[in-house]
Amino acid sequence: MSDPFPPYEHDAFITGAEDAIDQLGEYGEILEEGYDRGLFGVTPTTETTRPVDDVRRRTVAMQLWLLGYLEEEPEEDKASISPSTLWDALRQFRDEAGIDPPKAAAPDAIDDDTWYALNELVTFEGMEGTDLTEERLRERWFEGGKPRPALRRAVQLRLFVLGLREEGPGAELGPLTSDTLIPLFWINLLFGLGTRTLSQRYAPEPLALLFDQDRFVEALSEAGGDEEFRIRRPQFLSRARARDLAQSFIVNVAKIELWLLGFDVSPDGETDYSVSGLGGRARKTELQAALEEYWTELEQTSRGRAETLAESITPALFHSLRRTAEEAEAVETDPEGRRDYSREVVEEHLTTEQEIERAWSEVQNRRLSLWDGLKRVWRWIKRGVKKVVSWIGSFFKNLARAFYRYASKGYKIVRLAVTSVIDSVEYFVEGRLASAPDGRIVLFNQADFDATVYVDEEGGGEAVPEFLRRMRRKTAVFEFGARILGFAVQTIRQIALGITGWARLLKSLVQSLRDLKPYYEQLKELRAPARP
Amino acid sequence: MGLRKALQKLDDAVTDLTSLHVQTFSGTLKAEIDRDQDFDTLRDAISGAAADGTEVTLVAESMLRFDGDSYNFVAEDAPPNLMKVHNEAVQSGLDARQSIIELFKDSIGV
Repeated sequence: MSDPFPPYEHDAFITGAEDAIDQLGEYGEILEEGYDRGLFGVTPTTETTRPVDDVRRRTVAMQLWLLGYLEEEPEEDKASISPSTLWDALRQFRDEAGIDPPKAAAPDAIDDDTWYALNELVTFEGMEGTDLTEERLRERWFEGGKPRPALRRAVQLRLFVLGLREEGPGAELGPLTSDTLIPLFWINLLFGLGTRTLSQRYAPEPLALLFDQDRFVEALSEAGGDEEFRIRRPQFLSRARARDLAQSFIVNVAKIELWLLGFDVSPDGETDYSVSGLGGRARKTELQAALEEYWTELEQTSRGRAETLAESITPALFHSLRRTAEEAEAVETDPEGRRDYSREVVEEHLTTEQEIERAWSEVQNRRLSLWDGLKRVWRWIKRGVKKVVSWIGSFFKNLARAFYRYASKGYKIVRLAVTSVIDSVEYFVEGRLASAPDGRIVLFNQADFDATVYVDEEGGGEAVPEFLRRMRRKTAVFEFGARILGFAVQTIRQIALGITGWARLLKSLVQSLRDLKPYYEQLKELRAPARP
Repeated sequence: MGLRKALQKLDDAVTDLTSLHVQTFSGTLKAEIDRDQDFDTLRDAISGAAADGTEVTLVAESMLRFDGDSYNFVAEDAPPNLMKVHNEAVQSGLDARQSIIELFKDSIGV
């Protein structure tokens, strides 16, 4: 097994010691060490070299390369890019994406804004709440009626991986021309993606369509019966050109879908497989193996039938993908309307220490696929594929990446809680709060949570409402921080004794995630800078 | 500061969680107070040690003993806004005290 857990040296915790400060202090140190040892995939926020390279850092490098900000492709299993090269690329990306440099002490830190913007442009499934819809594109990614350069790169990349452009974005972006979108215009006519004749202009409407991977699947599922594709060739497009475009699009949408589901397929823009009804030749490629595995593992057909189905790409593949998406829509959601299956991962699938360590190891060399495709994976799980068929199969890989992401999110939540508790202790033990700007009201906290307050002779006047708000926020930050931390510690104490070390910590973080999220949202809101 | 150190600091500071004491003063300060400085001036004024003519008086005081023996003092002319601040300071102390008790209870599984 590659990349087993780093050494764990905190055996004192969870032994049932009755000293609360020891327990909590130990927990804080375990979290800190886990972070230092690269256990979680959290945004690297400083330029300081970490002892273990971060999975997310590698992902960022890969995304920058795909968008043309790095000349050389980063190697898979180590940090092959010097920090200064990476930071130069990040600077250029921020500049082209309209992101201010981070306010952190290290000016070139990879902050959340940069991370989310990269994901928004590069991932196929999009980011929750920031899908590249017409509105989002217009408001965030267009400036003065023109696309930001970072978006133009993302457009070039998307067309390339869909087989509709020969090259991805390079170091030089080139002039803005409407020719770029002509292949998309044809694809829209061939498959009826949009409801209207698509503009060839660089505008939010055609670009929103280009980034709508779900719509592609839907359209391809409607492009024929189970056996063969049918296209709606317009008269002014030659038969050969129509076939080539359609074939490229179908092969590459299929590759993207399979890649998102965790199969070993590269979304490389190559049109190298047979498409039923349109020709082309099936070769013994990774795509064939993935298709066979898809039909056997996910649709659970017989081996013989799977081999037949994998001989070419048929509409049946897209029928299957679409059916799964629609069935998943009907699945119960959590009270906030979001799907979160974190608890099921550790309660039903990854239940032993060995399985957890194996899952953690599995993701260590992954990059983009770690952050993209989870929606699809969960569609399958909720559809009823509940058994892990093979420890090396795509299903386990998907569980592993879900587990890792949930654990990282759990860590992020608990880390914020720890920071909040520490800040609050400072405030409550000897902190002071004064109304701005002139100190008409001043509060001194003292030991034992006692307080002394001064209010000027006019009773604080108009400074009172804002002062009360700030005081309430300070108290609530402590309350929510303490609640999250207490729950996290309680959870790790309750994990079965057979699971120890880092596996215990990771499992507890995933197990408690669903309960902690609502508190986290409130804590984040409380800690956000006050709005004017 | 790490979590252990922070909690140790809290532990050192907290000697008595069985009561909560909040005092609110009002008056005129000669020295200007701002967010980050001159707190010592105010502290001196409140303790009556200021030599600059600063005058402040106690307007509200709450002593909550959790064994049930509590008292509240409010000056007759205490402005309503001042009382809002005072009451919020009491509530803040109660909530924070409750949070730390819950946290310690959770961490040792009580």
